[in-house]
Amino acid sequence: MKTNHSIKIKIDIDPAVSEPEVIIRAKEDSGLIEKIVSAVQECAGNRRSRVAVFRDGAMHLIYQKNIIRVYTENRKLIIFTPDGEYFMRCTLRDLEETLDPNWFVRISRFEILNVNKVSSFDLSMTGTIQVFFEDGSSTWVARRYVRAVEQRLALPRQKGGSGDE
Amino acid sequence: MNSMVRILFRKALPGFISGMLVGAGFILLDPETPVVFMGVSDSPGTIMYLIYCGLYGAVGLTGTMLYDIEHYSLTRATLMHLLIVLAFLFGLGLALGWKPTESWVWITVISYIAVFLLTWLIMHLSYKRRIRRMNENLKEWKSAQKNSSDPNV
Repeated sequence: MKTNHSIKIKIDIDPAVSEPEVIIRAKEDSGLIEKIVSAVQECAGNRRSRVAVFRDGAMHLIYQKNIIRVYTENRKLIIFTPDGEYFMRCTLRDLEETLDPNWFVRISRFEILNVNKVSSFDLSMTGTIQVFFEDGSSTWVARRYVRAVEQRLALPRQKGGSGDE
Repeated sequence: MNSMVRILFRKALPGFISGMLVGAGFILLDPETPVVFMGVSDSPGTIMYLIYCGLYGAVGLTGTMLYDIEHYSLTRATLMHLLIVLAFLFGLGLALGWKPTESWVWITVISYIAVFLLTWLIMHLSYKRRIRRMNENLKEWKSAQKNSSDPNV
């Protein structure tokens, strides 16, 4: 069901401002804010560069290139970065659609990784396919997703992702 | 329910048909096969033997779903598949009067273990090779990313 929200829009034209600035004022941090941020980013043409995430009740915008991996745990979507963990209020599939396909690849039903942050792959004696990241953390790849990772790495080299510093 | 029907058609049914065909193949090679395995030689006995082979094939092929469980390592999936296949083979075999003292029973067990061990080894080596290639491609991929980076990246 679609919900209609009442939003006041105030435009302030100021010749002294070098580039457009959007400030969102709200009573509380809600899912609506996340949607507005996404919409504004989409308009600005940098939809894929940053994602809105949460930590300690506050929203942060992080660059996709800084994400190491994204996984679901106890029905929570966790964004793992060098700065620690953040949370998101959407499904892994929804997030997957917004992530840069050049960099991110799904490695199991519960996890997506940033190939650019991978240090190496390895096979354990028990036959688990391990992934080691540049920050020293690790995870595993489900066998059925190995082909997807192979294809991502074997793709004709494309221009790097759109996340900017 | 849908997933159960899907499993039935994608795994159990083809496994059942394959099992029956293999069982029939054994009869063609040696008509005494139903006598050896089931202790019967008449037509109903042969049909029972073929149904048993079919069920065995269904269990064997459905058991391959263990390899799709994401958090199971290759060793764990192979071991569990082996145990399920052996449990079915000998569970029904013992009910049919097989005696564990007979040497062919143990030869069969050892053969199964050998086949699964070989399968595990082949899969392990195959993944090892793929991972080596993935690491090579990763290096190239990263170097291409660095080279293609521009001020906006």
